[in-house]
Amino acid sequence: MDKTNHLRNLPLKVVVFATNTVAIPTINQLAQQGRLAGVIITGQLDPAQYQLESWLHHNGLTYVKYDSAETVEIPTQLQRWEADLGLAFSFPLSFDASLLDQLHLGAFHVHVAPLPKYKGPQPLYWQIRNGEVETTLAIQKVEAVSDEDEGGIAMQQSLTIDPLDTYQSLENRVAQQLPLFIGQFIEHLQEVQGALEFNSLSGESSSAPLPEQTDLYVDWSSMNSQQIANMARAGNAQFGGCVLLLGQTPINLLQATPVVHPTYGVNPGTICHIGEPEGVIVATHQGAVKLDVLSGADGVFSGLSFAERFQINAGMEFSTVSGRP
Amino acid sequence: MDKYKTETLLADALADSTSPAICTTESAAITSSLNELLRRQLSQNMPVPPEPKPDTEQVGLSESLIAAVEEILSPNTLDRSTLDLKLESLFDQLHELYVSADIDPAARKRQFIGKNGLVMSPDHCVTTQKDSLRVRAYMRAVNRAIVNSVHQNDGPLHIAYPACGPFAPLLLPLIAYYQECGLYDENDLRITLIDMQQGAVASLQMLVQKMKISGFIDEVLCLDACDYHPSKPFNIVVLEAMQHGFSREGHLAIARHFAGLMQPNGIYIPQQISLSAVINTGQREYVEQWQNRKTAVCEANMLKDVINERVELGEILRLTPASLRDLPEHKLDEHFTLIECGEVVIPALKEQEGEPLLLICTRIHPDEQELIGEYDSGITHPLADLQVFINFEPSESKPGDLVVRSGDKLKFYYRLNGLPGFLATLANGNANNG
Repeated sequence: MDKTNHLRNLPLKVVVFATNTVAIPTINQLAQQGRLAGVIITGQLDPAQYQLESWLHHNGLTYVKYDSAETVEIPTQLQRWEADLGLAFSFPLSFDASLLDQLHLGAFHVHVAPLPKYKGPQPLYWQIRNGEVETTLAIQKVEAVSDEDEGGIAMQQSLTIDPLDTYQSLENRVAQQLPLFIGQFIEHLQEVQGALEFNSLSGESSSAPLPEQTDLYVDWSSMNSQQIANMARAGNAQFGGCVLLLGQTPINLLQATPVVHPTYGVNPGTICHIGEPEGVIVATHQGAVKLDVLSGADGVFSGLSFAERFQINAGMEFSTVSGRP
Repeated sequence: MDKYKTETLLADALADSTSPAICTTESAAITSSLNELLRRQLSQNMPVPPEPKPDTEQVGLSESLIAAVEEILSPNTLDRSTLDLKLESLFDQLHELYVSADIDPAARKRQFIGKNGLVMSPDHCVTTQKDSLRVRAYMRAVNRAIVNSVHQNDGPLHIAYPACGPFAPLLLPLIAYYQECGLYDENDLRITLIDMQQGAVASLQMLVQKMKISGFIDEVLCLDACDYHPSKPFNIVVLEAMQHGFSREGHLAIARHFAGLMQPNGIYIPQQISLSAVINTGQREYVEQWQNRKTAVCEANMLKDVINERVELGEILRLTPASLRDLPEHKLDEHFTLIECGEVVIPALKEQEGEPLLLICTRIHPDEQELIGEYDSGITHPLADLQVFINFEPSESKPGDLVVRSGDKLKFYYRLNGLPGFLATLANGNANNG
């Protein structure tokens, strides 16, 4: 059959490469539209992957688990599914030519970042942590691993990051937004009969690695109130917010709010106030921050409850731990 | 009262009194009769008040107050265990009243750093009443000041107790004792209690009522003691407001403020606070000196060996009513006002096991006869300055660290704002303080 006619007359068959639940609404939509060829997931043992696999299994959707040792089997699988197009959601696979050859409309990465910034596995975390107010949904052409050029951007759309967004809330919003965005992309792909135009990546690039443990510690000597609040919500709840050290005891800070409060020049990290209605307030570099929600081995508490339960008093000082430069 | 009978009486009487024929005189007479009738009726119908039973709460408090203050003022040699027991009993009485009083829990728990220092929560302040050697020394000094001044003064003695906390523990039991024993009355003593915490003020108002000493109390004020400007100067000021190493709370700022609010011959209690710098290892000072010993932790029980091992650097600040008015002050910016203190030289140190620590030691003289020595109280435990490293480098350098060597001269400053306390610097200005 002529490929162009296939595009016009039949629904595209899309294979989704996914590692977590962000892809679920998109997979669901593709399945309902009869466009889902199948889903390829990894063999990683992590909660998100497990949740995704459970959902696929529960809904009777076609999927296979990818293992690096079985890479050679994927092209065969794609041929069996008669897939036209591949969409990869943060998938840790290097697409080689033999795989791409099976997808006559190509494969595309679905990014949530203003490329070329925030390239890596945790773009949402670093964008929230850096106080970005807007992100970008982007569809980037996958080039074969042997090709040194990065694929161009086929379509992009901005998405506001709310000042109260946590990692989880933003991820949920992205997940809900993606089906519409992907739908628009497929429509466009059909309209232009596969002849997409691409914008090349330009501007300063940066990475978005998986945060290491030291990245999660608050550095009171240098971080201001807004940076601490951003750090807490960036890690909420995926990474336990951020980490405060009181003596040698780590405490997870899940939510914090910059406040105007006199600190009388005490060291950053010093607890300045504990009490209603203001809450637990700590001096920062050039300001003060309210510790709204804290957690530890015993559970999740409001700042005041935590302070009372663990006998934390005004005048105590959180230790400074320098993180990633 | 029998409501029906009273209403009938009233109706009958009013029926007469509202007759238009009755003149004013007659009306007055009837009113008088009515009142008399009502009184009689009421007296017949009112339930007989029960025989007054002893108020066990009141009796318990009175007994504890008298027992504790008698023990404190006793001319006999200090009996620490008896004193501890009696203050514990007094504390139990006061604490029961405190927790059962209608005081907003939020007001009891609030704690913060104010412009002149840490303001502890009322809940955290109450245990001062049990700090026996502190309470004893202060109360004996206050009593002595009152006894010596009360009859030499024209009119009552005006006493201020700023930052007094929820129990005003160094004064209120003494006043209650005077009241119980009839020693002095409100014509002799007029007291002003001041605290920043609403919870403390609510507690003080409740205790004043329970102790039946409201006649003595001029005011219970909820404000920062440094913002207080009375209309007349005080004869006696009682002030504590400090933590160990003369740190964190606003004693010095309040003391300087009240130094200007006293009569020329006024008595400031404590009469003297001496702060000195010494060097010792933490292991010897805090651990080995006290472990496996059944004696109480106090200056009298310090080990001679440990005292001899200490390297005394010298006094860095001495506060007296006179010196308070004359402390050299350096205002660096809106947050930093420093008081210039003494200098000491670090001598050559003998090899010791463990790293040498700079300790700030406090000795408080409430008056000439009383002393709160090192370790006698929570506020006179030596405080180690963990940011000063003597003859060794810290494993991890932090902002504010100061590395010094034998032969260096240390210049001390006292910070007045935020969290007050001593700040050690190198006297030659080459402070290696990160």
